[in-house]
Amino acid sequence: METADDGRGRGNRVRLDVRLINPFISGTKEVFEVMAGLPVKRKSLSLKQDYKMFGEVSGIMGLAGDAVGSVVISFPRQLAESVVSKFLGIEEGEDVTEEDVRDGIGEILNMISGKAKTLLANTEYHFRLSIPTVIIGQDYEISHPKDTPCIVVVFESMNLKFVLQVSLAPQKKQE
Amino acid sequence: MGLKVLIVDDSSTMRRIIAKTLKSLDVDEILQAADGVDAIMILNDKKVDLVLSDWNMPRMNGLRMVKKLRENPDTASIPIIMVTTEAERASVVEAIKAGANNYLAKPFTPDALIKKIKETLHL
Repeated sequence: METADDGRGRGNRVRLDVRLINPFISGTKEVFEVMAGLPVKRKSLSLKQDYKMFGEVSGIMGLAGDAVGSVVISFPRQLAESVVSKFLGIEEGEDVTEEDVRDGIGEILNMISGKAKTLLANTEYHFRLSIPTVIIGQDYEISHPKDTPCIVVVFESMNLKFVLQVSLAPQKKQE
Repeated sequence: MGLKVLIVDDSSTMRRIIAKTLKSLDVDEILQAADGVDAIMILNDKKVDLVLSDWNMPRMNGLRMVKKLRENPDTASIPIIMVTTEAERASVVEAIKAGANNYLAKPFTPDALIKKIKETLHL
């Protein structure tokens, strides 16, 4: 178990099951490093209490199977463009289109979730992947199930922050 | 004569990354499809030396595509490498049983992809 801020702004700590979040953290680091040569630092871990998104570019994937929930990755626009150009090997000065950003962020989320899925096989958090959706905009909200904790991990790459939020709980077995 | 390769992935980013990696091999032509339906349409018209396919795609996923290609005598022997985030042992076994020749989990380095291609095509 690891502790995290409870997200209510009072400095309270709550305990988190690291078996759930660690595969997503290592998956994020591996995807950035292997596919784009980008080092990523994990900065903080907390519980999310609202639905507001961190950045202008967010990829969302619903997860279903033995566990149900969602995973979201959210970037400031500038970092999303820089990360996608690194993945694509686009030279400096060349344009990254909105379609490149949309598709690239979706694929990054797909790979992170895929790594986590493999690492969570044979646990109660095992899930199936779905096709990711990417939203580009400002001041939007993405909901997660009220009765499932939503863990927010802040990362830093190229001196800018991005977040990964995971809201996943084992399915209640029918009696 | 260089190789003709079909890349099947719903992500244009991934198709571009793979296409870029293929430049280090003797490749004449790279064809691209966004899902299994498009891939089968292309293969009805063109002969290729290798198919590199994702698993999770809309309309027809990679596993169903592999099964369909293996059922058709014209496409039954095309070498297929699955390049996918589905990296669990059970998924690898399922894909190989369906007829895939080789398997590479995402994320991958360019070297890992080239190695799998050389292994599969005995280059």
